[in-house]
Amino acid sequence: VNVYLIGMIVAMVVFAAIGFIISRRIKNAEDFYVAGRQAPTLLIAGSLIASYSSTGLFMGDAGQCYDGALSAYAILAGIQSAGYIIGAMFFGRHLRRSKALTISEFFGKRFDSKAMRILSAVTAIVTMTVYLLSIVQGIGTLMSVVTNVDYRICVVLSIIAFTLISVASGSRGVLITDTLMAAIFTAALIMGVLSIAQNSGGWYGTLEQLAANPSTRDLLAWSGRPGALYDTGWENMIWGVNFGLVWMGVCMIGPWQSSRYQMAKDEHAVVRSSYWAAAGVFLLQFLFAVGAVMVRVAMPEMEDSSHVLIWAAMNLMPTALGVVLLTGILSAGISSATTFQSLVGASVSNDVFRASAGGDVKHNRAILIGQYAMIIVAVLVSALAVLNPPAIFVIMFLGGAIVASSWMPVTMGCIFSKRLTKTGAFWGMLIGFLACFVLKLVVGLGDLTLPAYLDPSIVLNIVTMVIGSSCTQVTPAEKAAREELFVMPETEKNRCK
Amino acid sequence: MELAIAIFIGLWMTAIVALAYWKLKEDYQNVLKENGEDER
Repeated sequence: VNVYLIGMIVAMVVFAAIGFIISRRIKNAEDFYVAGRQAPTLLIAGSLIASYSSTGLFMGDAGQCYDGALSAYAILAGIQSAGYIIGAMFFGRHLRRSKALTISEFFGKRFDSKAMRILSAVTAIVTMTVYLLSIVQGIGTLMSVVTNVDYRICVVLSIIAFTLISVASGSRGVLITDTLMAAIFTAALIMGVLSIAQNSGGWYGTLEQLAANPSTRDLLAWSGRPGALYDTGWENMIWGVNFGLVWMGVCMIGPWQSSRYQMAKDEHAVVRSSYWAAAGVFLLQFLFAVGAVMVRVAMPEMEDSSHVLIWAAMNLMPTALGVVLLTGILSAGISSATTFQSLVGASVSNDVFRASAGGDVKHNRAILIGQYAMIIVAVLVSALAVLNPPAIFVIMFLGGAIVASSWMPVTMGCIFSKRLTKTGAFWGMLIGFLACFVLKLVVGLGDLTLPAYLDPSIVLNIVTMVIGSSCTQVTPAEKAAREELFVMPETEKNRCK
Repeated sequence: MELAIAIFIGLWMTAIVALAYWKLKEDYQNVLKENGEDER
C-alpha cells in the first residue's frame, strides 16, 4: 500500500468536505465572491501565502536552487516579498474602498469604462488559466511520481477535487481551505528541511560540507553555478533583480493576490495581513531553497532536479514526515488552483457576462454562470494538461510576467496618476499584454534566448499609456472615481480615537 | 559579495517597511486633523 497516495487522497477528501460544509453558508454574491467582506487577518494572510505558493515553487524553483541558482533566488525572494507591504498600503486599501466584487470591476469604476473592465477581465482570465494549467501539470507530475499512477489519471483526480471546493464554496471556502493548507505546507516544510539537514550532517555541518567540497562550493557562492540560469554571476544577479521586481508586481497587484484584500473585514486586516504574508513567503522561499541545496549531500546528481523535494520526502525523512511534506506540496498546488479557478469564475460572470448585459443579471444567476465558467475552465485545463508535456517553470513565469507587463503600470497609474485616462490605460494594458504574450511564446517555443535585463513589454505598456493619456483628457467621472479611492471610510477613522 | 547581497536584502526590506510606516502615519495625522485634534 502506498502511504503517500493515501495521505494525498485523505487530504483532498478533507478539503473538499470542508468546502461543502462552507457552501451551506453562502447567501448572496458578496458571500460567494468576496467572502462577505468579513475576513480577519489570519484568513487573508493564509490565502495570500497559499495562493502565491504552488507546485511551481516547491518543484520548479526548488529544482533551480538545486541546480545552482540559490543566490539569484535569495535576491528574488528579498525583493518580491516586500511587494506585499507596498501593495497593501498603496493599492489593496484603495481597492477595498471601491467596494467592487472583482479587480476588473474596480478598473471599470475607476476609469468609468466598460471596455477597460472587460479587457482587464479577459487578460486576468487568460493569465490565470495559463497559470492554473502549470499548477495542474505540477500536481499531476507530483502525484504520478509519488504514486506511480498514470499522470493523466492524477491530473483528472486533482482537478475534480479542487473544482468541488471552488464551485461549491466560493471565496469563503477558498479562504478557509487556503489558510488550512498554508498552515500544513509551512509546518511540513519547516520540519522537512530540518529533517533534510539532520540527515545530511546537521544544519551548519551540511552547509560546511557543501562549502568545503570544490564540486559543490559554487552552489552557495554569490555567482551560483554557471549554466543553472545564466553563465556568469552578474547575469544571475540581474535575473534575480529582474524577476524579483516582476514577482514583487505579482505580490502587489496580481489578481490572485490583491483580490484577497477585497475580502478583508477592515483596512487594518489588509495592512496586517500583508506583513504576515511578506514574512511567510520569504520564510517559505528561504526554506525550500536551502533545503533543495542541502539534498546535494545525499544525492549529488538528480536526473530531474524539479523532483528534488519529492525525492527528499521519500528518501531522507521518516515516512510520516515524508507523507506530511508531500501532502503539503500537493496542498500548495491545490490552494493556488482553487483561488485561480474561483477568480476565473468571478471574472467571467461579474465582468464579462454582467458587464456586457448592462448589469441586469441577478446575482444568483451570476453565481451560477461563474460556477459554469469554473467547470468549463476545469475541463479545458485538464484537456490541455493531459495533452501537453510538463513544463512547469516556463509557463509559471508567463503568468507572473503578464501581470507585471500588462497590469502593473496601469494599476500604479490608476492610484498615483491624475493624468492617466481610460484610453491610455486601455491601450497600455492591451499592448503590454500582447507584447508579453507573443514574446514569451516566441522564447518558449523557439530557440531565441533573451538577455537577463528588463522585459521590453513593460516599457511598451508605459510608453503606450503616456501617449494615449496625452492625446485624451481625464473626464470628470474618472477624476471623481479616483478621488473617491482616497476617502478613508468612517469605520476606519473611529478606530483612531 | 554574499555579504553585499544580504545587506541589500536587509536594506530593501527596511526601506519598504519605513515607507509603509510613513504612509500610515501620514494618514493617521490627516484623520486627527479632520477630527480637530492635535497630534499626541
